[in-house]
Amino acid sequence: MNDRPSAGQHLSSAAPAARGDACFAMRLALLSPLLLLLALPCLGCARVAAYERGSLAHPTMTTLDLARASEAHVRAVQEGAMGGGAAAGGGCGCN
Amino acid sequence: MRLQLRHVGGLALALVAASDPALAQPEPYAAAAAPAPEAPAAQPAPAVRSNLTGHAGLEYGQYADTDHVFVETPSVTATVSNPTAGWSLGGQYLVDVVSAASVDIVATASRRWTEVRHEGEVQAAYKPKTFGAQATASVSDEPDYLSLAAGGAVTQDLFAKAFTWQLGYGYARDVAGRTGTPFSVFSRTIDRHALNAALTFVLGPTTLASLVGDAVFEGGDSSKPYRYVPLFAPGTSVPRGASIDLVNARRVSARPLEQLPLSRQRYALTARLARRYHLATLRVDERLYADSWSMKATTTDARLLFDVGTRVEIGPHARLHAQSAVDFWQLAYTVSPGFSVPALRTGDRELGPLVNATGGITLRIGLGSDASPRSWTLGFDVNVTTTQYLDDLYVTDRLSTVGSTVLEADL
Repeated sequence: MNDRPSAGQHLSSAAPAARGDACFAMRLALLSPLLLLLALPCLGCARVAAYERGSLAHPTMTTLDLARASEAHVRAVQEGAMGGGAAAGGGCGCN
Repeated sequence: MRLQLRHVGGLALALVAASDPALAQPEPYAAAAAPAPEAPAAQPAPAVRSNLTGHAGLEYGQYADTDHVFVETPSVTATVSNPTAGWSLGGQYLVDVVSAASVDIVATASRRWTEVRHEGEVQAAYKPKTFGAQATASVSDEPDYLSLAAGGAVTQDLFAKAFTWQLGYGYARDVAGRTGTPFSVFSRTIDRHALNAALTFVLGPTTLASLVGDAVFEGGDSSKPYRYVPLFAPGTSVPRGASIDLVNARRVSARPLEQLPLSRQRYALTARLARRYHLATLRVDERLYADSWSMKATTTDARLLFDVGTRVEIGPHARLHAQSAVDFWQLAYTVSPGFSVPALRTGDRELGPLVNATGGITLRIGLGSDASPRSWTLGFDVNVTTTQYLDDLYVTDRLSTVGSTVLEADL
């Protein structure tokens, strides 16, 4: 029993290189999407005439999530970070 | 007009596709509505044409994973709407049949269990012109959990629909208990308030973007009354992915129930970009998440949908989700001298660090007439997810698949 490392020692020493890489990858994954968010408002709105809205009216051009009910439910269980799944409505002038 | 049901921040809020009476009004109806001074009085009145439209859908979903969890989810949706007047009414009912013998259940020497959950939801929306409102209410019932939710939202189109804003609020009250024990004997109440603000931008004739902010405030004890957390003596070595036998051999005899903090505040920011090409649509979502338990997460979701003729739509789907652990997460909780247990403890690996990678495919086939091939649609969706648990007992990875078959009709 005495030759066992403590739980804290074990956790900090278990494959330190792999844990460091995982930590770096996690931070990179968390920060990189900020670029997309920062770029979005810079794009600006455009007035599109009704006769030009054919593409916007396509069913796949909704701002809602296209996930099916069962898929959305699975996500809610598998991803501890639930919330934020909402989407804006309208804007495309389609029906 | 098609109504689409979506869950918002864990509350069953429904959002309704925008309606523009001017655009929605069919030409024949517009002609009939115009004054006809030349018409003789004796001529029979033109037939009244109904402005009501309906949409109905049947879905059968199935889930299975390598942790021996199986879920079957049949559901039905129906909507009646009047695009000219700008209103709609709809509802959804689904049943979850869950059968599980996961490692967490086996670790507590419990047997496989099967549970049935019923969920019903109704929603209404009214948007006669550029300003609209919507409301929804839902109930979810299973033997040890009851959830009641209601919410509403207002929305407005601005600048000739180049820009749309939306504000929403939802409230949910959950009652958690134990199977076989009446709520009057044992239950916990969890309250949840959700705020939602969304902006949609039309960036051009083929491009749409939205930015959504969510804040969810939870209060109450959401600890699972079945989840026991193994404890270890200081100095005990427990590797990631340790087997049930190894954990049982090294843990102390005391095994307290999970205990989570009594409140949680969640915040999320979601950006979505949709672009239409000649015969395809590209959709990319990015969501950033943080909460008061120190969990941070990013989720990237992309779909590419191709039109193959007028009846078939097919395309791949990819999703990557990465999250850090909550601040009280530990691979192996240890008892302190004097045998005091950690005040906060959990065995819920969805609160630990993990990475989910999902790949899938969507297929939709129009079964309607040549004039309206998408009026009846048969759809298939399959998604396969691999999960890497970075700091967990019992398992280090999981492979899961969820598939659904959908039949929809515009009536």
